[in-house]
Amino acid sequence: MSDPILSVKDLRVEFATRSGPLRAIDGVSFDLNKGEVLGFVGESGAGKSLTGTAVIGLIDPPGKITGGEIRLEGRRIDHLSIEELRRIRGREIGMIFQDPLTSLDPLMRIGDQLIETIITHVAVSRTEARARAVKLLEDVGIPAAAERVMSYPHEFSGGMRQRVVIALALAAEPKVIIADEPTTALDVSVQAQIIALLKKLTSERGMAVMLITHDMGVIAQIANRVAVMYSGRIVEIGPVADVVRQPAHPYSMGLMGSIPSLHAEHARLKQIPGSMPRLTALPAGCAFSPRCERADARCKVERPALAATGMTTSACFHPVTSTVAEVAG
Amino acid sequence: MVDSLIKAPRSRLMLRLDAIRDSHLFYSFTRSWIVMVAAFFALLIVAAAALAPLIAPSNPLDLASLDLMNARIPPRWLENGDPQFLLGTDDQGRDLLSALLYGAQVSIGVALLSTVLAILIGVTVGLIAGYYGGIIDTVIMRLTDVQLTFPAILTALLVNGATRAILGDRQIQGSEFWILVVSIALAFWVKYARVVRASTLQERNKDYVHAARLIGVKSWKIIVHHILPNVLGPVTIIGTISLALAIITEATLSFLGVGLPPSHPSLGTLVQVGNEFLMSGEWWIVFFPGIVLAGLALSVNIVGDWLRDALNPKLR
Amino acid sequence: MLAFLIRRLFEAALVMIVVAIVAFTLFRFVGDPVSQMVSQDATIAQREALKAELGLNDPLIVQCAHFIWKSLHFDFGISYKFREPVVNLLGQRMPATLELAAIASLFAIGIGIPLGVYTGINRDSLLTRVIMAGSLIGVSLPTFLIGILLIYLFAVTLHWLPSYGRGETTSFFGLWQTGLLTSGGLRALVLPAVTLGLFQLTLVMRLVRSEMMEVLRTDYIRFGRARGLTNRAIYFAHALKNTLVPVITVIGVEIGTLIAFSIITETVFQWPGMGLLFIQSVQFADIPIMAAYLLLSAVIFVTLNLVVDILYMLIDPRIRVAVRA
Repeated sequence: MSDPILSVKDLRVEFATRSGPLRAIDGVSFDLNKGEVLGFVGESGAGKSLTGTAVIGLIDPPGKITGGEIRLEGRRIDHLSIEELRRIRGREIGMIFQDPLTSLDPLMRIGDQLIETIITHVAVSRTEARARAVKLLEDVGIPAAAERVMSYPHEFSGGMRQRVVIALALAAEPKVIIADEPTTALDVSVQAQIIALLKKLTSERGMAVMLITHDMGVIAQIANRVAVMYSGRIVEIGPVADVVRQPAHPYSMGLMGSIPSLHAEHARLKQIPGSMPRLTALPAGCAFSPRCERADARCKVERPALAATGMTTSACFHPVTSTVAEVAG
Repeated sequence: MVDSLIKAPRSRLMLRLDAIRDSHLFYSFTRSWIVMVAAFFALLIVAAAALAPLIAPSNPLDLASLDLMNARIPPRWLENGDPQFLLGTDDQGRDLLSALLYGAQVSIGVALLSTVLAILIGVTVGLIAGYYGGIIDTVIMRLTDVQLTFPAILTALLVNGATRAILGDRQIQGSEFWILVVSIALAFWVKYARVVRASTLQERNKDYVHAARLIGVKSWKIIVHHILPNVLGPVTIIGTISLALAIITEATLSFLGVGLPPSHPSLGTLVQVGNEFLMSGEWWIVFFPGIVLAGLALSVNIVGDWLRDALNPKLR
Repeated sequence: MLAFLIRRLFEAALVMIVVAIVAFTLFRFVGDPVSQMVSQDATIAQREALKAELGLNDPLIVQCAHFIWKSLHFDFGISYKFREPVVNLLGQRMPATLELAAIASLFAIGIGIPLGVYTGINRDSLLTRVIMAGSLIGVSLPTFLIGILLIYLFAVTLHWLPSYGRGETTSFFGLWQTGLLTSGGLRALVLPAVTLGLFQLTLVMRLVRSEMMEVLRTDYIRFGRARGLTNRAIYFAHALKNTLVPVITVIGVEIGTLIAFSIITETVFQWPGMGLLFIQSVQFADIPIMAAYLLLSAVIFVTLNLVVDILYMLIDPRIRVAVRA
């Protein structure tokens, strides 16, 4: 296999508070390959968005990357100067945010926002940038793109605005896109269109995508692999089909159990009892142990590391590979 | 797994951290000691002003005691200073320290009384507009709109001028104090009226007021017993903040020569009188009233700001 | 958009009518037009004749309409004190006040906005703390004290700048005396303009700062950063522009306040403008001048409000749409 385009090793992000640092991301590692879509799922506060923000170098104080390394095509980018990092953003790594209604500057024509982004990164004339902007809008499926470049954001619907946001993120042709809940704020019917668009763009352009979402349905549709996050850690990572069908970590299993399915035998969706611990009160061992049926004394004191468990890689002393395989089989 | 609140866990976390830093750390380290000093200074001046007749070396209002031979003596620690006059004397031979103490008393008195009067007018009008609504409300609110088009100082000056015209020169003598109180009150009542009207509208539509009306409780009883207590909170806060503004307005009017006369000076009058001697080098005549006025306005402002933030952040 | 403008104009007219009625009341009832125009020993018959001639026996509504009609033709009556038409007095002094207010606004905006942007971006830097502490003092000190302090420092002690008056002025066709064309006139402007503009400067600065901090937290700024836009583009093309709507509102209102506060500044610096004339009219109960000044300032404030409304529409495309709908 070729070298990964993005490689994150043992990433740690902390927030300085008066009562000491809060560790919001704790030892996250993953590789993202060219043309791959890697999904990140988990509850609110699990650290998925923060991981994306850390990769693109946009964590605001008092948050800070306090450990680990982030490599883009083998080059470390977590210790770059502010200016070097800025050049990478948009050009090498792009990001799409959740809410298209608030992601666009309301006072600037979308064409100008596109042109501004293109000129920032690529040495082209304004005329050329303008032509590119129209082309981008066409690519993301905006009808009558040549006229719509003159429009203001409020003149578009939510779904169209998210297309504009995607066009903006793609403006300087980055190699990696971090899509942070790209469909959450949209109507269900529009969600499908945006997913289809993302899928089309990734395959056409060979971009790698970090897809952050709480929606397993979205993951199942376009991701190649998926990482399940819990309390700032990756608890399981593997090919989507395997994680969905044969999750090894009890948390992933609970997560999959809570997805509605058309041909499910269970009448009720399963719930995971309790809620994710707060960052101020993380248990010493496995963060999931207080909610876990399978937890024993060891889970409470020792933190499990990621290791191959059946089809996927998970961080659990008591993975559930066999049982689920039997049930599924 | 429906977590529509998922939006951005980090931003929510960070907002909380911001709030902690903004409220506690930032506050206690940079703000509270300033507030303490300001409160202490304000209280000191208020106490000294209140006790002026007891602690002042002489009575500056007693014109018979003045001696022009003592005019323009510099403060005691300077060359030619006179131990009898700690802060020196003005052009009338008046002891500056005594004039300051009495002047502060007048300034604070005007500020307090005008604020109370403004609150009385504003609360009454606001209650009526909010409670009765309809055409009364519309007319009153339109009029407040018009008044708000004008800066308060201009309103105060116009009221002041009109009152002077009505009273005529002779009757003005001796009533300057009350003309000032009324001018300032009429310049500032609008904001109370608006706040009270808004809260009254809210209260009026609550169930207990409907119930009280239903069983035939008289309107004024409902207003006084049920609505008034609920609107007094914000009014008190705005009143405190406005005190600094009232002090400044009084000083400004007196400085402009339409406030208190030099025979019965406030801090603003003292500055106005002293200003004439700035060029000739007798800086102390304007310096001491100026510094007391500035310190008073600044410290009352700081305490007012703090009070607003501490009690009701929504009033920003 | 037209409907919106018409509604605004209607509201402005309403304000003007109320102000005109107040001015009329002042003019007619507070002042006594007759006794000011006849000599002390005029007979009652002479007074009555003058009263009839002035139309003071007409119904009030007619008198009021007459007053407004004359005001529209710049006839504000005769000053009691100066025995001259009020319009001439105001006309002579208007250039001084307008020039002072204009320079003070430039000073307040030209320094207030950059300081607000700086302190909004560098929220906790040492310089920000110093500026914010200074601005608290600027907000709290009475204008006249600041003026006196500046005079003492720069005129009395350092002898750098004149302490009163307009200095040398140049005349335009005998209509407009300007101090902007001579070095003496410009030097005389410095202290009064700084005194007058300081309060507005701190207000503008504090507002721009809080708006900047607000806007810098928005998603579109984060998205701009995620696209690698330069700080300059983020701060100026996006953030500052988005703070402008509230900032312009306040600036519009504050320019009006500035004209009112010029009364104080003109008194401190003996600046021969409308403010100084007005304060003399208050001291001497010179009602015609007060009434005219009231009308004139209402016109200025209402016009400023209209200009602000129009600027809104030029800046914010959303308002244009909301207005059209």
